[in-house]
Amino acid sequence: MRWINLPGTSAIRPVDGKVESDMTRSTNGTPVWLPKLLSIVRIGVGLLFLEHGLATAFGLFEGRPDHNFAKLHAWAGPIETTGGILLILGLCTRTTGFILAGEMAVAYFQSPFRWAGPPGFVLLPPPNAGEEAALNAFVFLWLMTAGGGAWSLDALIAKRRKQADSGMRAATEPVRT
Amino acid sequence: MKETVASWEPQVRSLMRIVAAYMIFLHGLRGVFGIMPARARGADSMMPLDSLGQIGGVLLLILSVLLFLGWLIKPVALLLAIQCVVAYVYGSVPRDPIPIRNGGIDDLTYALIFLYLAAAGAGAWSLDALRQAKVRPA
Repeated sequence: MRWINLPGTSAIRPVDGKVESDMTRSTNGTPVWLPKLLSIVRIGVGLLFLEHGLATAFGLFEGRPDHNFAKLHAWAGPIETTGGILLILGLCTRTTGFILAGEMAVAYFQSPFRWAGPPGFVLLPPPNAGEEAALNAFVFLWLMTAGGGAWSLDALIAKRRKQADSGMRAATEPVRT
Repeated sequence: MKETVASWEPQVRSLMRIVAAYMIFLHGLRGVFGIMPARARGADSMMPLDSLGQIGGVLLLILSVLLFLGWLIKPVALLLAIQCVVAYVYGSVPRDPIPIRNGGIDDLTYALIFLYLAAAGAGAWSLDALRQAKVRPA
């Protein structure tokens, strides 16, 4: 069976299959507004994550600023601030997701809280205060694979580039008559 | 490169779902039986989803098992998202309006990803995917 990409959606549907009359769903059952929801999720997660960056880097939200860059923890400030802003904008989402997922893995295993309990405590995220790090690590890993969605600078750039390419081709290709 | 990474999306989505289900299950255990060790940071601090109480905890246990298996993802994830929002509104908002200070960041993150899972499905590694493969062989 051959598959095509539908314009305007991220969905694929069979070329020789029956075309559904319901255009709000693609054949694999996902709604066509899914890329927009992805962007909303990305912006929400980015906003929540930016708070940590601002708290660590600038002491906002009554956080304690950490500028001792000889230790690893201080680097969370600039990394999380930059990463949060990039996530909100949807700029370089995949790269940002990759780096932040790595940062969250380090944050999870480096923190002394995780090792402060009985054996096996490190594998119990809610009590060991590592729930956010563990959850965010996988959310960012997923954002790396999912991309920025419909409302993102990544999508805007890709669209512009495509338009420029097609414009260039129209200008350079000989006109067929 | 980008295409390779993008092709893993259903698998990574399942991974995220399974990890979230595990942590929600632990919250459920805490809510129903109270058998979780004390929190490492700040003994008096509430964990997210604590405000749901015992009945909410039972619901968390059931739904998290279904979420772990990836079975009936749409209603399950939607109910979990609603629970997370309720827990945030009743448990966290009265403490402070700013998420990082009211301890509700986890609730909101859970709500967002459960909303997405409800819309997008459980991903590649799930009972839903198995059942679909049986109904519609590729």
